[in-house]
Amino acid sequence: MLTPCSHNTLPATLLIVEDDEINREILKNIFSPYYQIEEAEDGRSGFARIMANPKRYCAVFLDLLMPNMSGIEVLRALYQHAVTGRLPVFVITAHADNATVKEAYELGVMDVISKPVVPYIVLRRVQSVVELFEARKSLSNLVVEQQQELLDRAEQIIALNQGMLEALSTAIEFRDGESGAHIRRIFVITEYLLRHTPFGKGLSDNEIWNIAIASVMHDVGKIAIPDAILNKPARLTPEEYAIMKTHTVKGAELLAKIPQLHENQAYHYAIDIARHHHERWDGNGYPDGLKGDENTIWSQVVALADVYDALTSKRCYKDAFSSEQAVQMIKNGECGVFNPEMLSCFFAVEPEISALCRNLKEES
Amino acid sequence: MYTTLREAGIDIDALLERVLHKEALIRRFMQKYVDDTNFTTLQESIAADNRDAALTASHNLKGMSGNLSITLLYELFGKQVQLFRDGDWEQACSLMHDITLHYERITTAIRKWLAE
Repeated sequence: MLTPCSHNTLPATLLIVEDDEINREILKNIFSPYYQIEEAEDGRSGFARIMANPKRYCAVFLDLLMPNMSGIEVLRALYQHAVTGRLPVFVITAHADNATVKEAYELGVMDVISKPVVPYIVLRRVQSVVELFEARKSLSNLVVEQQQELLDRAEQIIALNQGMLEALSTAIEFRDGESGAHIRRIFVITEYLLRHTPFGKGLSDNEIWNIAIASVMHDVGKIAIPDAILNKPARLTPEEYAIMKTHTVKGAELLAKIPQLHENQAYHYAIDIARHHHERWDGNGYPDGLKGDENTIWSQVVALADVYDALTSKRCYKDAFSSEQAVQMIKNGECGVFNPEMLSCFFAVEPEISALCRNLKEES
Repeated sequence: MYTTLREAGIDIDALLERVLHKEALIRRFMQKYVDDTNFTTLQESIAADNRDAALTASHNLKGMSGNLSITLLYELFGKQVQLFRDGDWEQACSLMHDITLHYERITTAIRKWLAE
């Protein structure tokens, strides 16, 4: 059945652009039961009304022969402003030569209706097109809504992933007598060093983000280390130390066993960081004794972040050092040798990193 | 009630359909038709050899006659408009004899109907 073209808003509005009063009256009489009607008596005022708010109208009737801007001139202008694709325009004409009709269609009119009009025909033709446009519009609205919904869900999933990873890592830190603050500081130091110094050159924002997420999981292998070793307040025996060192390899193995993680963009970084965050520049680290650039940038950064944070935090076997002391100890090579280029980048921003870490310590 | 108009050659059924059977509209349109000045303009424009004005006036008369289902005049003005457009000025003007004859006969009938 014929219904007004908008179902959930104000009655839709039709614009009749026509200089002949009888024609306007006839069209108004036919369409007023279904639409709000607005009239313009010449091309110029019709064009002005449309351009003032094209979305206001669900269809436009356009006479061709009119004073002050003919229908074709109006059409050309509407076409230039890309209105005819969005708003159905009907040419109503008593005289339509082929060239004019052809141009009108090329300019995007939906239909050419000849005068004098036959009410049931013009009503049906206009109604069909208006409904088509409405359906198209609500369909594209629906698509936009659905896209937004998918994006929202994706964001939720990402947030949940991150939350789960942090929860897992924090749970492991707890066994270590640590709060979750350590992993948050590793995240911050890693991200800061890569994002704000030349050492992160060549890495995209997205890659840096994924590396920072991966850094959170560097110590997951500690879940496999017995409490007696993990929390021993005294120096480890060589046997105990050998077991302690396996948290690197076990961490990488553990991560590899979580199939869902394989899809995650942080996965490859996480595996690499878990295994290699105790390697040293001179090859004296573990588990693989990687030397220099054999170790990846991200594992090198997390190794340094881990050392720096361990030095500046209280542990079961030591008190916290000041950041100045920590810097000096790293410079002295007391915690192993690091990439000199990375160190100079790190020292350049250490005051900022120290401030960020202090904030996190206060928060926790 | 439309006998006078019907006898003058107006296709009253088509007209009723076009105005969705609103007699008030027919009355208003008929009044407008007899009050309209386009016919005088057409005559004067032809006398003054003003071709653009003649075409516009004839076109307007064609439109109005069509809308009111005054079939004979719609066809005559239609023919004239086409001749004007084709540049056949002489032929277009030569239609004026017939056009005038029927225009006067029909407007007289409309006036009579309006007074009924």
